[in-house]
Amino acid sequence: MVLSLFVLISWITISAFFLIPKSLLKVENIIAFFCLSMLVINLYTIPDLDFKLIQHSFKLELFICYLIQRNIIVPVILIISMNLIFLKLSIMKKIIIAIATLKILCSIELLSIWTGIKTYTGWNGYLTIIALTTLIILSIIISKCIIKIRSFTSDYHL
Amino acid sequence: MTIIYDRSFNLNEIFIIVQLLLGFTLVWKFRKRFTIKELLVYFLYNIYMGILIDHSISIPPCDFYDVNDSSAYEFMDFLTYCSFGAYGYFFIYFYDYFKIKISFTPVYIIIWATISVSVEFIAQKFGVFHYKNGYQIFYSFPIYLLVLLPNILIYKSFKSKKL
Repeated sequence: MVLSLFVLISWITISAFFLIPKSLLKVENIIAFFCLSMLVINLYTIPDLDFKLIQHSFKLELFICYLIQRNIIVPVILIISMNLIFLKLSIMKKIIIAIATLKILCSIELLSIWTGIKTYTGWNGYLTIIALTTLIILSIIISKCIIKIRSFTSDYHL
Repeated sequence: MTIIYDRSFNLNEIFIIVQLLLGFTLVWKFRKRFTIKELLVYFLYNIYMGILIDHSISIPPCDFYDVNDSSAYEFMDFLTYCSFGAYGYFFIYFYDYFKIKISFTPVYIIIWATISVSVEFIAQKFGVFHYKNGYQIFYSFPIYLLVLLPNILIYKSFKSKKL
């Protein structure tokens, strides 16, 4: 049941990615996906494995959900958000997109707590909000750096 | 509970730093073949896959191996993954340089998977990897086969100008 739900959410996020207008080129989206995924994996691993502040489930079904959340849902939502933020929009709309992204990421985090995918042992909701806000800010910085490469010609060599 | 293998700066750290510096130097020296974006994709792909796979099968409930000095995630572990980038780059570099045909691609992938297993074996001897829960080095071979194939597909997409 939980696995089906997470597969559905990942399917929706991937579909949404293909449907939204994109400000990043395909190759830039690939680079951004690699960078943001590495960031997300690190952010999920450090409080879990090192500090034991969060405990992910060892049940196979829930562990697969954890991997889907960490490796697909969160990075794809961030990529969608970055593509929307870097469209030619007003600052207000960009802030609204960033806040909406934060809300969606928090909701998914909440869902993973409710379904038992994760248990907070020394962590709390406020720290989640701080961590996810940091993640969004870092995503914006990374995406901005990737877009900067575009200022070189498309066949630019180092 | 965190397992600690050693706490000193020894062979495994030296192996990683040498591998990292050598890899970065060689990539910098042979950087002209691809555009900056292509280079970044090929380089980042292996780092990403290294982190993705290690953080999937080396954490509980699988927990098949530990990287470096302890079962916790350390900065040296991150550097280990960074050193994978050069391998991914040269995998594509030589594929492009020797103009490997589609019919020879599976053999090329097998050769590189064998090279990867050999490097992993050396790394294990230097104390970079510590296998546990019945994991053996030859289980890594199919993983490398699976990891290397999408790299070729990305390269082919670049070549056909689909990206």
